[in-house]
Amino acid sequence: MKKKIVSVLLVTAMCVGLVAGCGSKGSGSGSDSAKSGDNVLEFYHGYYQDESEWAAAQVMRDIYDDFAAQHADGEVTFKPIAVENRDEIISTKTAGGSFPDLVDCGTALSQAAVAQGLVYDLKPYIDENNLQDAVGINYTQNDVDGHIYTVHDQLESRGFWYNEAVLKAAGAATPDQWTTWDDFAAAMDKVRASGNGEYGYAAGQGSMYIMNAMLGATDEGKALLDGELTEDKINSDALAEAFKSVAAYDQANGSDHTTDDVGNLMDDFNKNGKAAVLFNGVWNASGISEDLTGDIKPAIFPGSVSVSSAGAGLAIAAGMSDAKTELALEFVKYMTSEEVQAKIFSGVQANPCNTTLDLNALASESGDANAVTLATACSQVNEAENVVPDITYVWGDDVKGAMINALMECAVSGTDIDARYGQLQKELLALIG
Amino acid sequence: MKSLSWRKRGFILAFLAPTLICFFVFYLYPIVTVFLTSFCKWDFSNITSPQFFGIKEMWTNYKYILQTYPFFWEGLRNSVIWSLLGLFLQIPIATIFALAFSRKMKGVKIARNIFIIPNMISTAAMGMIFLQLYSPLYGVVNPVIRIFKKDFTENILLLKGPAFWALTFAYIFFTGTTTLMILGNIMAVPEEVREAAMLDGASGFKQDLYITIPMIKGTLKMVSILAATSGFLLYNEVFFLTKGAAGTYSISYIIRELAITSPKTQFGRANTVAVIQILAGMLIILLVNFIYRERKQKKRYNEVGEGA
Repeated sequence: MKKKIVSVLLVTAMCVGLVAGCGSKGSGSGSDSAKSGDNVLEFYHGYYQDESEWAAAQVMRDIYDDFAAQHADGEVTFKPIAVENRDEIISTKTAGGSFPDLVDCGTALSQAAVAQGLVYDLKPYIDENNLQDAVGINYTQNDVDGHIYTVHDQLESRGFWYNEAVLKAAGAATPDQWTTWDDFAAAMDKVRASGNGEYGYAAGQGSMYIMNAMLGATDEGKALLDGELTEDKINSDALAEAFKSVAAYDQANGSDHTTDDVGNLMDDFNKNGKAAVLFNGVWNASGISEDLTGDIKPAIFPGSVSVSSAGAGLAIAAGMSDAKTELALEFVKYMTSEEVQAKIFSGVQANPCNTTLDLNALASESGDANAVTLATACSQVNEAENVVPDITYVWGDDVKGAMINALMECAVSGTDIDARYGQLQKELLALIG
Repeated sequence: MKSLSWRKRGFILAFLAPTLICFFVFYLYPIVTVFLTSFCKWDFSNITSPQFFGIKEMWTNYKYILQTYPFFWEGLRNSVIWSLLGLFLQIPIATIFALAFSRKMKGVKIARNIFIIPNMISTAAMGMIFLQLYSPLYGVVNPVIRIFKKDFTENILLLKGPAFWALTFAYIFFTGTTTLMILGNIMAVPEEVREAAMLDGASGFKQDLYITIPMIKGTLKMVSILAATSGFLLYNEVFFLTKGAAGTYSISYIIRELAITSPKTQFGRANTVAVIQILAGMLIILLVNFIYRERKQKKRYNEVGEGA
């Protein structure tokens, strides 16, 4: 009998445990911790790497810790949490109708989070505190129908990088002499024909930036980059011309130098000196090996174009307590302040969003060769006549993926570029449907 | 007597409860949800409250997936082929290796271990390894191709046709788990049966064909279902090697594209593909059952009888 009672108790405990473990679905919107009523502002960020692995991660963690220390005596505790999967955390919470208190989004902010009213509008705070210059390009690029939901403390800025020695050895013109994309194509032809064992550039992901910049060089192209992709844009001549031109360059460049992730072929450029051009952001300054520092230089795209996006960045949950919201807003102000932005430039080697900084002066002060190169790259990008946003952030990841796949397939010799573009148009029309 | 019976029933129910709750919460509920929401508008605009299209428009998602979405038929075709390859290529390979490893020969244990080791590597890591193998600049595959085609410089992961097979070869030969399951069953075949077969003049290949394989048919059926469904659900290899380029989309990858990659978070449409995936998975199980149906076994036994 005793055994039976124990068995019944055990089974009951198992069932209760199971049901309790399943939990209950939250309702309503707002942050998670707002519901639990605690006074901790949780901040998820992606700088989880060990200092030995990526020194910049430690610099960012120190910046966050400084803020936590400055507000240690406040009503709300600031708690930075380094995670590998911040975007998964956002999407999981968003699907459940909530949002992290404060998060540094890695990819474009989920439309679902905005549509549900889960994200705090930063624009009134920015306007009231005159932070327009501090947030820089965020103020215009991240404006969604008069609201700003994210502020990125560092910009995703891209011109490109070239190896002067490789170009000169091939008898090719250097980017300062390129006025059109035809000049770029002619230079790449010379590199391939030189027989020095070097190749033009890593196509694929890189090709997307050629197309991005090509569109940014004309008014019609710039109009395409203004807002989401539509049927008219897909059927436009400007898009067709840009795609087909890039596809032709890529085919000449060869599919053996084509990858959907430029990181796969980055060493060819930064360490081995085997490629003439690398389409990568300003942050590439820190990846160049010492023996190539004198040869590798930054440039912006023909037509004085740069691709610069604020991207996603810091987002605050709507519906938190006033004290927590206040601290989160204070954090945005702190991250875009000159003091922190200078640390981001020199320590993280990234393009800061604050437009009031003199990057060249900061680089000179530091005396670091990489910082000087970075400052040159950032200045070029920031001062380009045409600064256009990254296609990824305006047209979405699925569109970008379809375009990269199409471009990569065109890199195979003999591929019918017109036919592949026709197929891509159908794919894009379906994707926006 | 009656109260005892109730008590017994109570115990049975109580002990079944955890399993039943798990089944309903973690298995049936998601399947029903997937099915129901495939008839709903469910995307970024109404992420917490799927909205039924209404009777007239209930097939909206299905129409979009079957008629408009550009990668569905490609994904379905590829997934079906991978499923059939699992059935007709992976299982025979695993069976041959299992039969070979069941022989009492010198070095068979070492060979068995060497065969199993690659299966301890995750499919993600394996994808990265094959990415290097297929690299046209540093990989080992292009130099081999150049023995036959001197000027070949292309990236095979971007060639329509070869890309599909390159992706297939990245997983199809790694049959360690399946081989082990078959081998375990082969080892369980009673020694007396083998000895009797030997006395009747059946040895080596004949013994495998007429004695061992029919006796492990249950296991073969089970691993066939596993291989066919895992081929049908292939995802990691597509993600790491091609991301769908050169005609290599899979059904699972499409679900990710719709639900995660798309900025519109198209859960409803993703679940529509999932419903089709579930139905196709059931068809695969029916196909495997059809292949291993009883009639064939009787025929085999008859053949053995005649042979003996």
